[in-house]
Amino acid sequence: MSNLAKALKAIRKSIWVYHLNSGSCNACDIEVLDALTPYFDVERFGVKLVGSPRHADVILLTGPITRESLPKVVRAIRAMPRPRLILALGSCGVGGGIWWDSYSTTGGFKKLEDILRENGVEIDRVVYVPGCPVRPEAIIYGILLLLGAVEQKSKRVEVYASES
Amino acid sequence: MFHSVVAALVSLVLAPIYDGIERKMRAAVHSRIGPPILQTWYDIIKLFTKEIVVPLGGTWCALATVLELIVLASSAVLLMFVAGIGLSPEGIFWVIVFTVLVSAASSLTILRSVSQNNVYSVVGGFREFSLVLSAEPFLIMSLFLLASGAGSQISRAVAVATAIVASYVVSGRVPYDIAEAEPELSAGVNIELSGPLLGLATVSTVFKKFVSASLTSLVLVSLAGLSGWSSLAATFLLTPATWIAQLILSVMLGRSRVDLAVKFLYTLLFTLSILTLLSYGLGL
Repeated sequence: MSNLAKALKAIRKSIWVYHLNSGSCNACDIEVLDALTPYFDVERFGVKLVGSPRHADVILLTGPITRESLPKVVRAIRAMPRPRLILALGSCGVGGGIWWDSYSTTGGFKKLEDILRENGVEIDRVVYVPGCPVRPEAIIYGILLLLGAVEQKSKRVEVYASES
Repeated sequence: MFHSVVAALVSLVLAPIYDGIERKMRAAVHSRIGPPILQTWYDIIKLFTKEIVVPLGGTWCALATVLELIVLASSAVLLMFVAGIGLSPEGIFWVIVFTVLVSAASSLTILRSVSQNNVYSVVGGFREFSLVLSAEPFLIMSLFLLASGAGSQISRAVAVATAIVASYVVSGRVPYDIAEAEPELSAGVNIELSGPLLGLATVSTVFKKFVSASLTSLVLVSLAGLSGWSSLAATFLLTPATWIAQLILSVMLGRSRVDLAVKFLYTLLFTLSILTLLSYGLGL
């Protein structure tokens, strides 16, 4: 068993999440809060919301990472102890959404990952949860998928937009 | 002595399970399933497997965290030792040592918070300081009165009430969790801790709750006039019930404004202490 697999096994019963808004329209943030309400009762899986990235096992990242928020996002992710697990939430968190090529945003987690690598911040695992806004059930499923508690249902399909 | 140490060690292993039961009951109040009873143990074990990110001022912070845990565990053992004697003049020396240890644990929490280079942590430290000043002198006074065996039934009853309120504050439950204050200070005194260091702080928090529940149990047992073996057994068995009672009280109380929580506490404990001294002085 690799070191990451061992670390993920240890986290599986106690998952502390940190909510990181990087310029979202707040729709995904409302759904994150919804997932944490007694209705969905994520505490039964050991999920707990924490107020400091130092305590976090998983970062719930929403928004297209605006230029203004970028340094803060990098600092928050750097502050997190290893293993660093990220759940990129919503269309904006996954690929920038309708702001994917805007001058004022980074354009989703994929580009942020490159910036983090340039700054020497390693990410151990990422799961993308699309949706506009993302559904609370999908967030819970994404967390469990991130930790390997459930199997991925869909296969990866890459789609490219044509310029013409 | 041996029995007291065994009772304390068993209790300290059980304390995270009591905390798990508390979380389960809190979930039941919200009409939800809630975490497993062993959840607090899972959290602690997980934290010890994580990477440690040493905060600025890390040496003092780590030292204070470790010392706080040792002091709290020692105070739990000492409390069971006092329970084995009973709150009586024979055990008054140990009661004094116990109060010194509880105050030392609070001082170490303050040292831990101010040694971290973080504004939220320092604010949390000052809040802890205000709580210590508001509650612990009254706790020491009431315990000393109860252990000395002086005073009438009325003055002892008021001293018991003072000790129960002050020990609730020591437990760090709502609304006296202002030093951590998850929603507004982002974990306050714990904000910069991570991995095993946060694990030690979490264990300290659970031990603090245990010391508070045991102390309340001991004070109640002393009202019944028990001593020796029966006092130790009654304190040990009453502790989980007291823990649950404190949980129910915390759910009923809810959050309060920071300044109002401390002001109300100080007014209440000051009034109770004056009543104790008056009834003692007048021989009521």
